[in-house]
Amino acid sequence: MKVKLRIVYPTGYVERPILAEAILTTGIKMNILEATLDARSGELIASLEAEEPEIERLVGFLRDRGVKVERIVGMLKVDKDRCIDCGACVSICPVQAIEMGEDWSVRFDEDRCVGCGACVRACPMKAVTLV
Amino acid sequence: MGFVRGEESLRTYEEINEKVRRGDAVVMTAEEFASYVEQAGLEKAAKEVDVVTTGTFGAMCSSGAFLNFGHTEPPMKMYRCWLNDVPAYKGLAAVDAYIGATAMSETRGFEYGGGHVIEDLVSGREVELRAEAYGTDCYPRKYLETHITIEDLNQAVLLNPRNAYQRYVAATNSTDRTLYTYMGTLLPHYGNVTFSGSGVLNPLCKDSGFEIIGVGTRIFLGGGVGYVIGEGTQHNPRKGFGTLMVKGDLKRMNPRYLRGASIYRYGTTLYVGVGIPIPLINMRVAKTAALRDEDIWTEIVDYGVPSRNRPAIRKVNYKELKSGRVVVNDETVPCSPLSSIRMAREIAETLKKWLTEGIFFLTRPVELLPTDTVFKPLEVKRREPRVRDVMKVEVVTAKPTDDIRAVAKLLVNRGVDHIPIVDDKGVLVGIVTSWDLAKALALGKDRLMDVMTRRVVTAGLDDSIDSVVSKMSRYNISGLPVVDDRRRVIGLITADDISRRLYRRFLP
Repeated sequence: MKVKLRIVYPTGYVERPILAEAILTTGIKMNILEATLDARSGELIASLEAEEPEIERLVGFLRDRGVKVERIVGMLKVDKDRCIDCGACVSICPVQAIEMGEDWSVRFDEDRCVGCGACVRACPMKAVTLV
Repeated sequence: MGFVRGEESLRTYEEINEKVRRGDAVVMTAEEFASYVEQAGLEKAAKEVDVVTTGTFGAMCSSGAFLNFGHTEPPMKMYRCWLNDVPAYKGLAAVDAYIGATAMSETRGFEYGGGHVIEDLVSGREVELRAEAYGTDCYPRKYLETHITIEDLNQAVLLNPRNAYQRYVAATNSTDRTLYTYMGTLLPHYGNVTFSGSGVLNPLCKDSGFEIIGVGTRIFLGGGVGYVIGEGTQHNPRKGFGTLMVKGDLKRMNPRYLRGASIYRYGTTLYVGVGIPIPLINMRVAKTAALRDEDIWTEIVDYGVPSRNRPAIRKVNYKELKSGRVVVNDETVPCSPLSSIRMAREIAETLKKWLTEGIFFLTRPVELLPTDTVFKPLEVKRREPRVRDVMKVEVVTAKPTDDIRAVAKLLVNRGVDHIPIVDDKGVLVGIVTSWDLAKALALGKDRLMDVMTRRVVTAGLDDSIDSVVSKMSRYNISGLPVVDDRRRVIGLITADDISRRLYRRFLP
């Protein structure tokens, strides 16, 4: 299954190669979608595809080393009553997570979404929010 | 011209309405008709089909509503008024007002505007009304605060000076930064294309000869019934940019088809649903009604050029625009609409339903729209200052190899903050400011070339002061070298120069 993780490095953990260790140990390939980092703390959003027990192992590994890990479910919330399927959000999505269906309704692919917020700003109906 | 515009050689309005009354009018949406013509041929299709329905649902900034509030006790001649903090136009009689779609809330700004007020009214929601007056013998009240719903109003009339553009240009962006425009978010380096209008379903596209849409044409407007009351503002039929002025009873409209919108970093507007029935009164009308997406052309225009004459990149038809991918400068880029094609389709279907159910009848226009008006620009007749009028001509420059201490001395002696760095031919290669020099001295650097900024933001002689000010704020700088077409320094313009100039303008 495909999951997205938010990995938060508290103060003092930033300089340790924890993620690299986790990848080498578990053998799970990860794709970093977003990374914010300063001298005190850091936050990563990573997506990966693996079986459930393997994901559990990865999460456990990371937690044992002191970083906070949480699964991200449904970053994007679309108010279908507000949405008019105009398409203003479609061509600006950096990861092509939004597309026009055959019937001209807008479709959001939660799996692909990286939570950048471009569609939130672009929506004239303010129908999209990030959670 | 060998024909009379609007001639009813195929069928008359009365014949069509008689069939609508009996419930056997043959009605197709523009999409259905276009494919039927492809399959059966124009002759046969035009003979069989009585009416083709169209629809569009997009941001239409030139929209608004006339409202009559009724009189308070004691009465008031409202001089200024606000609906949910959005100012409404009060240059009318005591309790008449016009709320425009792009007026913005004085407390919530871009988030909420006149378009949202109209949507709230149509939805039956309470709207706060605040008004001020100077008080007269006949209208003593000076202040009012209350709330209203659309039910309380005597009249609520949607009257839109410009709706339903025949077609619109598609937008892209050549610059290196993201632009936020009324054409939506435009990514840098031609990163995407946005377009508006429903192409094959677009009302005026289907009557591009202006033979059936005119003053008095009954239409679908905002989910209710409306009328065309004339050509819209900026109506430009010769260039294929016809527009319509429309009105309708807001009280009978449906909030599904009137939606307040805020366009990021642009402002507020109203999405309006418009649908127009196209009676196939002659073969020319049938032919335009049969136009497909691939027959309807527009241009992709570069919104990176902040001018009223934005350059066109290429021609494009609605089939390509609707495919989601468009080729711009040999690269395929994503493309998406801003107006809802799904809703446009729904409007055309609704109008078709009204006609087949016999609850909507066609009207013959009292007068057809002009086909020869032009869209003129506005020339600024008072001369505005340009860079050449404000800049300093005597510029203190230095060479990249100059010693920092010498340059620092120059800066102090001449009382300047910016020193453009030029090569032997006077060509700009960098710039240093007093701050750069202070930093250089603190870090113990010796030569200018080690501390100067190499990517210099510049101005041209005839640039507007507005464009210089926007560069200053965008790049957080206070001075720009003025260069000629070979990048030789011919002047310097600073924030000080501009503020001094402004100050002089306001002196008595």
